[in-house]
Amino acid sequence: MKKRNVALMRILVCGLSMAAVGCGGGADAGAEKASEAGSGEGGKHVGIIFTEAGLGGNSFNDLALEGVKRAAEDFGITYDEVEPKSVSDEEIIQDEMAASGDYDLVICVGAEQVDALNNVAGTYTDQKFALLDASSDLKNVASYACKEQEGSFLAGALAALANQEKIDEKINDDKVIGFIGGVDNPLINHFAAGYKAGAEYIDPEITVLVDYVGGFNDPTTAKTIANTFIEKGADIIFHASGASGMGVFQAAAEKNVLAMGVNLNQNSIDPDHIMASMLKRLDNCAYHAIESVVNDTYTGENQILGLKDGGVDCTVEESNIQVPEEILGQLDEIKEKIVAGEIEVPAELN
Amino acid sequence: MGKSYKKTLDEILRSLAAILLALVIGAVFILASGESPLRAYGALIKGAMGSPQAIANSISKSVPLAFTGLAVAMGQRCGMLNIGAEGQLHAGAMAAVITALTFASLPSMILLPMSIAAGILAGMAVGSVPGIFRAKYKTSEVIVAIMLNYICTLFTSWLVNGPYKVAGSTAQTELMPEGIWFRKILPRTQLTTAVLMLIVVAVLIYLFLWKTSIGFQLRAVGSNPEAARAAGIPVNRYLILSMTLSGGIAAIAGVTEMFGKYHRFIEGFSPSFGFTGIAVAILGKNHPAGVILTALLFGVMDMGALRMSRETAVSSNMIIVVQSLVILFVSAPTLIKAFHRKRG
Repeated sequence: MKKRNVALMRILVCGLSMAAVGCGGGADAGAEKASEAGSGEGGKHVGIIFTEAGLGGNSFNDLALEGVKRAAEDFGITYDEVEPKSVSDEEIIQDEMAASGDYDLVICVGAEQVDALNNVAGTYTDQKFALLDASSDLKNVASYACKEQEGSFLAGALAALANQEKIDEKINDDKVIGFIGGVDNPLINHFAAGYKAGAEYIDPEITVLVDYVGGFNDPTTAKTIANTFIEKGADIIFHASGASGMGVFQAAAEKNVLAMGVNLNQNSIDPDHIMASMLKRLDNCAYHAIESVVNDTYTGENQILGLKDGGVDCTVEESNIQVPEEILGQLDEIKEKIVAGEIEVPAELN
Repeated sequence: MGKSYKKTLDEILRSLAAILLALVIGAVFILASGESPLRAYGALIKGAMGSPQAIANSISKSVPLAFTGLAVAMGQRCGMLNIGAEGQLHAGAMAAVITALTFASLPSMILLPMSIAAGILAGMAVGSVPGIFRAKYKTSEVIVAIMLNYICTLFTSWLVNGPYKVAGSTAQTELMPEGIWFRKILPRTQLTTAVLMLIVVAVLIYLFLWKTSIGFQLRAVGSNPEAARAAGIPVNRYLILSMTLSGGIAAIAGVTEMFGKYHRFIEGFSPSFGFTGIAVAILGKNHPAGVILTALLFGVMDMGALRMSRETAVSSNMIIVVQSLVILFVSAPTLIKAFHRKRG
């Protein structure tokens, strides 16, 4: 018994002395890092707090980080990133970042941070915050949202053009396309309204089937709906339903029709059946927020980025479905018209 | 007395050695990922204990882990492994929040105890099921509890995505009336009166298990059910009792998170508190004091990890590696013994 205690003591002493050294070294290194940040080019230092879901898996978080990285290259800013382990961590990190005074801008991703941010930003009124994909009315919080309807308008126009021209053998003779949303709420209906308007802009005769899964994590139901659409003659189905969308892609692959992805470029998931993806460019939102701080144009206003500001887009890259040049040309024209305000894209389903 | 004191000291030393060993191995991983372990651990310590706010947040992070740890310990003392704390705390949190929202017009003095009681009762109800199945049908409590975890987390998920969802893209309920939120002990931190509740519960558990005859009999069942049966103790009744109590304690973990931090039910609020609670109970030797100390250690690591991941390139997931190593070393004493022999 006694001998063991001695041995344990030895390990402890050994470890403790290491820890003590670690402490001292850590403090020095920390100071070094802070000064590095301070003397960096432009000197701007940005913090980004992700949602609980964290990085990896092609999420919004990765997209936002990409925007920050691009800004780091372009403006020479430095940044710190934190992945919270629980939603309550978000408040702690926001508070720590704001209290440290080291950050010229703190970027928070996602609606789950709104509660905490309203609290923290209300306390630290001099700290600049940016909130991506949610909104807050505080003066020191610049909220970023996207005009999903404009990107979806392009997707709808592309679907109708592809249907008209029969660009692929998977397209049938029926003038029917489909939209599957996660739930029936105002945000998802931005997608639905834009898509429908875009399709009808090309072909007023076209039928756009619209239905909702009832959740963002239910591929089985999404697949059932997609199969029903296909039976009704739909050959191109666009989804805005998060992870439920995998069911739409499955149905498209099994029944050999076309699908369209959302938010990120999902074309590579199944390049033979996914023709295009409507993009929600959270990376550009993050970039825009940093740019505003670097250029001293930060206002804390709510920003809604559309096609004009690169907040949304539609891409056919990485898909094996060949879209003819003339259709792409037509899409570019439509894009210009939306940017110029010649086409008004509805945000609500009529 | 002298012998048991020595045994306790030995156990504490062994736990500390396991923690240090885990930190050293963690350092190797950090080194391999191209960061300085000294800087990383320095940031960790500063993040967890560098300011009064940091210390308060470390404590607040340990509160739910302490509750689930106590819950598991309560089951273990009767020889039952309560792997269902995760489901029980979800059920408890949801029941408490729904009660608070439904009777929001009642005065806080009545509403708060009522909501907490509803949460605890829900946890007890869920916890009793594996106990009853074990006692009546000899079904493994582990299997039943694991299945109940799914039922509880998915059912609460449905509630918060369906009937109780507030408008917006986040799956959460309405805010509870402000009068029943737990008070903050230190402003700008998440340390609330939940910690006082923890101390009260821990003391009650200690008194119950070691100072009452029911507690004695419960522990007797845990150390040797056959002997207990022969001594005339109604073993089955104690199996159900321990699981029911365990479920109630686990539920408080969820309840205090709701009333202290979120003030509403929000989907995904628990980063596996229930499962980490098993580790906390093992490391804390199923004793309330040990559980609280271990929970504090885990809270400190979790809190420090946030700053570490902010200031260095080390992911906060690194700390899960260290925590897992601690559990491995403590729960595998033969490993440590082999280590001793080599060192002489």
